[in-house]
Order: sequence, then structure tokens, then C-alpha cells
Amino acid sequence: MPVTLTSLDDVKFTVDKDVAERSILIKNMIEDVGESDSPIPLPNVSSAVLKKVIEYCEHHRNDPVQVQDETDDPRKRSNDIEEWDMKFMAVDQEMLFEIILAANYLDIKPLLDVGCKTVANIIKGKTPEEIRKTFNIVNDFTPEEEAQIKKENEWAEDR
Amino acid sequence: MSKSKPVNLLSRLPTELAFVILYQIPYRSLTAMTRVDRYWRTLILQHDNSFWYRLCQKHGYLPSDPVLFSGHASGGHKVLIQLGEALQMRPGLTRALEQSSKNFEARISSSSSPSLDARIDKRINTWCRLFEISTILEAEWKVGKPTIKELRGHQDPVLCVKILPLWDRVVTGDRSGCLKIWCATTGACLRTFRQHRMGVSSLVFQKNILISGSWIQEAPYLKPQKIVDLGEQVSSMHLTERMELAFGTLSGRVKIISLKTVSSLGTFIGPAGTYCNAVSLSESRLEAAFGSQ
Repeated sequence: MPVTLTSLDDVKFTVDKDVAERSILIKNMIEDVGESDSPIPLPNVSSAVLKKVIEYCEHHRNDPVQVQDETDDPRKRSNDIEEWDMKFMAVDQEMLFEIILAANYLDIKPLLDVGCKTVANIIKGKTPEEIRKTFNIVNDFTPEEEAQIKKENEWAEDR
Repeated sequence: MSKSKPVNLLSRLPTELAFVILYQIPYRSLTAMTRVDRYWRTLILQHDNSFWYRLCQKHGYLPSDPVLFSGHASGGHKVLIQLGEALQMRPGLTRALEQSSKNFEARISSSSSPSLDARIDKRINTWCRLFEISTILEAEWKVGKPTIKELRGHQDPVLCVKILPLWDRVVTGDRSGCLKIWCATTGACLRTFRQHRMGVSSLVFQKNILISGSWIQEAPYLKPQKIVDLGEQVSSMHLTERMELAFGTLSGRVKIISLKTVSSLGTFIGPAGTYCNAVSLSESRLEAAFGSQ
């Protein structure tokens, strides 16, 4: 049975139930309300982002549900991203962060993971100045503070 | 397409999501992030117990398996380890840190800039410090060459070695029953004991008592050279903090005795025709491994 989702800007999306239920939030809503024809409002997600999220859920509709307690063996977690996911995440920064926020709100853990890993991979290997440039962060340290911080880190450089 | 004003979206993330990202980046990038601006510096450095503790766990700087540290496992619940305890479990860390910082300071002073500010703070008082120092030392271990020291003096093959890092000593026992105590730093042999008439199979140390077990029935003998005849040929030993000694024998038995009361706490018999190779005792559990020819 299909489910209708309404975005922030009032665009309606009709998707299969198993696709929509990749979102734990929507799954719980359907379980609480019962089967109904009325659309499910998602007031935190814009249509552009929702479209992307649905694309992800459709591609991963047959994945086994992750039952993962990350504290159990955190060393097993890696930064590897599937090729399809990598291409899917090749979007501008605004969309990337919107997807992360939407995945968090909709409770789609694998998508949240992929999003966060993508950001982590952007940060990796960059100097503080490069990170600032990439994410438009303003350096608010005084030159004295900066010199001090740099000194503190000297021992740990190049690890 | 003209972008109006670039926005800092990264810093706008809810902190719990920011930590999901920070958890994924290597130490070097974390250091870089602490230098980006005040917001990230505070965020990363001020969540010592939750964030850095988890990172220490992730990288194996903490015992993550409660089975290995049964003292902390209560009914399957994971108990957070206190920093002091974690440091106690790694007595070599402080020494390695001492050595590494000396090397670093030597490198700094030999280079053109004689900056005394580069002195390393050797206190490990936060999980962040524990993580940082463990990472640095691990990296040094990977790239560096270990110092090799030969301890020469035994006439027969060495069967067991016990390292006492806090005492700066190494103890070795050989097949003819000779036991030697060495200085770990200089490699000099300090004492030789020949009380055992047959091979020294195992060594245990607790508080300030060293016990050696021998194949001959007289063992184990306690420091200072007190020989206790247990009527057994000892092949393996384990001594708990409560001074309860479990030992396995060549006849395939495991016995537990209390050194405080010098009384027997129990005897267990392994499979026929085997000898006990290894034994481990905790408050509620005795484990032993048996082997045969």
C-alpha cells in the first residue's frame, strides 16, 4: 500500500510503504495511527531534500534493517562508503547538511551515518585553514592564542 | 549562479551530530579541528568523559571486553572504568611517555630554535590526554625501532620471563632451575638463585612477593627464598590480588591455596594424561588449559 508524504513546502510524494518505513519516524507514525489515506506531514523537510531522501530509501529498500549497537564493537565501524552512496552524496554542502538533518529527524540511521562519514571525509587530511575555507568558519582566535595552540600541538604533529 | 553569503553550516549542526562526525575522523584531524575556532575547540576539548572516553575505547586504549576485566563486570553491565584504574592497567605508559618526551626535547634543543616552551606536560589527567599520549606512543612504536637489550647469563634454555615495570626489573627462570633477576634499564644481572633443582616453569608477582614454580616437587618458592613443598610439580601459576595462588601441575591437577592463611582452597583434576599449561583465577572463576605430548 502506498503512503503519501507532504513536505514543508506542501509538495506531495507517494511512495511504497516499505520505502517510507526506512524512516523509523514514519514507521512509528504509521503504527500509531494505523493504515490511513491521509498524507503524513513532514514539516521539517523541504521537497528538494525529501526527494533525495526518498531516492536513497528506494535504492536501499531491500537492505536488512541495521541492528547496531555502536558501543558494542566500535572498532568494526569503518569509514568505507558504498559506491552508490558516494555518488548519491556528491551534492553541494547545503544539500549535504540538509540530508543529514533530515536523516536525523526522520530517524534513518544508515543515511545519517553515510552523511556524517561524507563530512568526516571532507575534514580528513585538511589543515585548520583549509577546514575554515571549506566550511566558511571564521577564525576567532587572537594571534597570541593561535601561536600558543600551535605550540601545544607540536609534539602531536604528523601522527 | 551567484551565492549571496557563504554560511557556516558545519557549526550549526546539533552537537550530537557534530560528535558523530568527530568520532569518525583521525586524531590528526581532531587536532586540526581544535585549531579551527573557539567553538570547535571548546566542543572537542570539553567533553572529556563522553567523547574522549569513547575514542579511547574505539582505539583499544581501554579494556573493552568486560570478560577480561571481570572485576568490573557486574551481571553483564558495562561499568565505566575510572581514569586512575585505566592508568594502573597500563603501567608501561608513563615510562614510555617519559622516554618519548626526552627524545622529543632532545630533538627540539638540537634544532635551531631552542624553545623551552615545547616541554611536554607529562600529567595524564584527562581521557583526552590518555588518548593523545596513547596515539603518539603507538605511532612512535610503529615507526620507531624498539631498543633491544640482551640479557646474557643463563646456561640453559629460559622457560619463563616476568617483567616488573614498576620495579624496573626482569625475572627469568631456566630449565635447570636457575632464576635470575635483571635490571630492565641496564640489562645487568643483579641476583642469581639456584634453589630449584629442576626447571622453573612459571613466575608470578603480586604486591612485593615473587613466586617461582618448578617442575620439582619442592616448589613454588617464595621471596625471600622460602621453599614450600606442595608435593606437586608446578607447570603454571596465577596469583590474584587477594594473594590466592592457583597452580597447575604436571600431573594435570589445578590447586588453589591462600598465601595469607597458607590453607588449601580447592583441588581440581583435569583430563587424564594431561598437564596443566595455563591457569587463571579471578574472584568467581577458575580457568585452566591442559595439554599432552
